[in-house]
Amino acid sequence: MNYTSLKFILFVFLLASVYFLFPLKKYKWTVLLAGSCFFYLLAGYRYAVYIFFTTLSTYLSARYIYKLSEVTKDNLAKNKSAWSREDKKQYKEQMKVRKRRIVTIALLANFGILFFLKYYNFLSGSLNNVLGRFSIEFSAPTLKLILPLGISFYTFQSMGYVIDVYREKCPAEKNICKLALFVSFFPSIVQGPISFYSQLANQLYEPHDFDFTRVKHASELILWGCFKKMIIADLSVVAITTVLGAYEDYNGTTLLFTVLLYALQLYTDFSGGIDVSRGVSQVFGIELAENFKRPYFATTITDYWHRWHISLGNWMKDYIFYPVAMSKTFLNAGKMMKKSRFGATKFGAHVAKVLPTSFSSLLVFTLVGIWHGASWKYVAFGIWNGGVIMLSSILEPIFNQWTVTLKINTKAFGFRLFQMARTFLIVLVGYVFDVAPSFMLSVRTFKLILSDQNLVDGWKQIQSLGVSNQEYVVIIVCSLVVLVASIIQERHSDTTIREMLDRKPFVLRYCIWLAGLLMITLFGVWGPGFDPAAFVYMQF
Amino acid sequence: MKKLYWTRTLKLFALAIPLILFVMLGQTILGVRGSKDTVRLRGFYEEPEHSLDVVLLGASDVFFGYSPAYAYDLFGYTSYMYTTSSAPGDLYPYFLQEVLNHQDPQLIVVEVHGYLHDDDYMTKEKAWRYFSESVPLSMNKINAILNNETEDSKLSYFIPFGKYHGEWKNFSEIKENRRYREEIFGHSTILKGAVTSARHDPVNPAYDVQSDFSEKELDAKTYESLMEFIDFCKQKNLDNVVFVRFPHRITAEEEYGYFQRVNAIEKIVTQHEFRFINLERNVDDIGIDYVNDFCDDDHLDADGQKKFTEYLGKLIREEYVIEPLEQTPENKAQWDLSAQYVPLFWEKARQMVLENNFDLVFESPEIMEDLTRSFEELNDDAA
Repeated sequence: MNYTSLKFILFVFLLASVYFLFPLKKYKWTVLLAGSCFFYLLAGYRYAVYIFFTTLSTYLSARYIYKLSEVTKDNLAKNKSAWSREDKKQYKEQMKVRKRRIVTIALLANFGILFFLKYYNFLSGSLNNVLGRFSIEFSAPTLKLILPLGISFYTFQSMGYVIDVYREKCPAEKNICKLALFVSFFPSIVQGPISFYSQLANQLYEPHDFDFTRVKHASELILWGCFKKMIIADLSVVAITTVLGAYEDYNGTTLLFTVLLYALQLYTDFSGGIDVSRGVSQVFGIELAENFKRPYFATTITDYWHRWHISLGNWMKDYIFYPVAMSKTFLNAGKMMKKSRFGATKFGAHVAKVLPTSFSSLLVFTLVGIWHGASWKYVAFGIWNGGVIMLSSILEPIFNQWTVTLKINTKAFGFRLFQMARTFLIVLVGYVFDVAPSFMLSVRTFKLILSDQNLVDGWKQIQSLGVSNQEYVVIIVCSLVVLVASIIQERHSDTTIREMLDRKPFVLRYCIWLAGLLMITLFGVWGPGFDPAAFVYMQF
Repeated sequence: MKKLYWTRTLKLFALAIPLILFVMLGQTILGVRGSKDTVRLRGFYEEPEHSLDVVLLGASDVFFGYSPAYAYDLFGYTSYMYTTSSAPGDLYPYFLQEVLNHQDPQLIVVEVHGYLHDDDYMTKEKAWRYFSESVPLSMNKINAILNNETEDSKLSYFIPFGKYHGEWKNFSEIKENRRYREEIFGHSTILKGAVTSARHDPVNPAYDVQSDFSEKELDAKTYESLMEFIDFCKQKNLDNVVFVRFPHRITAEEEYGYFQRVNAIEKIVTQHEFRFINLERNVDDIGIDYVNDFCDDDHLDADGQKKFTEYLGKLIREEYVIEPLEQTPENKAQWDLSAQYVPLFWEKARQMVLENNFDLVFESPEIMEDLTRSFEELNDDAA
């Protein structure tokens, strides 16, 4: 069920009606569970076995880990005076090893399934290419594998929960059905946000009553999401798909235009979908984490990744970045460098200090790239982003020196604009890897953008991409609306535009609401007339 | 509290009502579309009730092959073609129900083209769209929409705005559709739904089927569809239904397969005691030139339409419509006018081909503007 379809709106309306009218307040969460199960089974009941396995393995592993933690605490308390410090340390270590074994099994099993379904054919294809070059007569078979709906998102979310239980950040959920709701909550299963158990669970299980203001705000958020996705993203994707279908037929101007349009389409598609997800959750009184904070206003690439797909960034930070950066190996590597001749210099000392976090960033972003898809271009995308962050961190003293030498006022608005433009350019380079059909074609794209600029031919090509001039006007106008709203939100980050609108006269609010509805009705891509553009991140 | 509840309800209505009105307006501007098929179907409802002697059902081979106005001119009976391009057999019962709801013809001619293809032909959207967008709301229309197996959502058939809202950017088409609404829809058609082209497509038929009775089995769903139509006719106690196959030129294996299915259908239909006339066998009688009188293998051109109408009209008049209905003076005047437009219609087709314009000739605003001008000039000359 597409999030921007009438069927989905009807489904949410009916589910909300049942939820709010449900007589047993304590068990309202079961309505959400039933709705989530229905939503998932409708997408393809044959693939439900995967989410069922994840739920069961998550439940059992978390329960067992929690039990081991409780047993550890009990035994330590019982033998507080009987055991020596060494005994207690040894005992704790033994129990930790046991818990770690369970976590490892759970992670290997679930990420293993994800890895296999997502990457097997890519790896077997790459292997066959390599073997072919050495004329080795062996070919790994290609399998017909389909990714179950939301497997990336629910795997990350549930494994995060298992790790949190291991770290004793939260207790294990006793009720498997409640855990199933956490894993499969329908507004976020398709494309996130990825939630932490501590942030989401209580909200899911607590009963929420109908609140008009909350539902009104939720509806406004849904409308805003539909505005971005159905008009800007879905009109733009036609041009992008046309270029992708015959990539080699277009010149550098058209390819540059496509990358710029992709930057717009990707943002409005993904953030629009998330707005709908968050709005739908809000109807039920559940606040999902924000996943986007005006990413194209970022002043550095690090800032960009703090504003783009925030929940994935937070997950990576908590479960990969910090454990790797704080690991003995990386810390020792930094210490070793500090003791070296290079480390004795001022710059060398700085590099030694930032080395663990820099390499961790490179690793995290390589994984982020791989997470995006099974292709070398995504690996390149990840390495590019991670590499820029790593180099920025390492070269920071040099850049700071330049601003001092050139007497640049880093607080000036002009400098901020420069930083935003620079960051956007860096992001665009990453998008070239993302949008091109393959790594080699992305390299070709760079070459053409730099060497084959022809505005006249490019304009003719752009006119033939399946988007009419009138539609381009609509895309531009609507994008300006999004830009203005983003600027307002950026300047007033302590509140939301919805809350600001509440303080405005009813007539203004009414006009905005009506204009939004009418624009989506007329310009939005919906109904059978068009090929409904699938959510870009649904493939994950 | 109550006041707050009513205020909020009013506000919701204040949002919903303009949206509904907007969709209704959008539906008229974008969803009412002009084409040879919508003109024909809408025109049927402008004919006075119980004024038609004959109604023909089928697909494009019918409205290319036959001219009701010419048949009226030669033989004095009124007829109409309740047909759309690519009409599948699944639509035929709904066509027939519409006919029975508004007319009481002495003869119903059913061209069997809709039963000759593979099963997926039944799910082709085009004909279902023309039907649902042209026909007034009725239980029959609702049943047709609910029972169709096309891919599009049923809601988009009830509210065509869902299908066509994306056409807001085609300003020229919006203008053209407006002309249809203002000039063509809402009154009786002059050409009675006929379409023609003077484009010649001289090709020798590859198959001589005059004494060929070989059969090819219908696909399962298509057979079921044909049986449903036959049962429908029996339920309605219709003894005035005749199944026919119009002339076609058979040049390819696929077309020969259709011919073989026609033979199979003939057997089924006659087993159920309906008459079947296979006009693909009467080559010499009809007098059609099978090389030159077609604009493509399935459709007769202007010359072919003339010859075939003469043949079929004579057959109908002699065997089925012995006494045509008495028409009101207004309706008779309307039919007389239509008859006068027929030669102008064919001449227009020839003129267009000479100008290398191979568009179809039917009752569009531009064509009617030209024909009316020619008609007035002719009358002025005669005066």
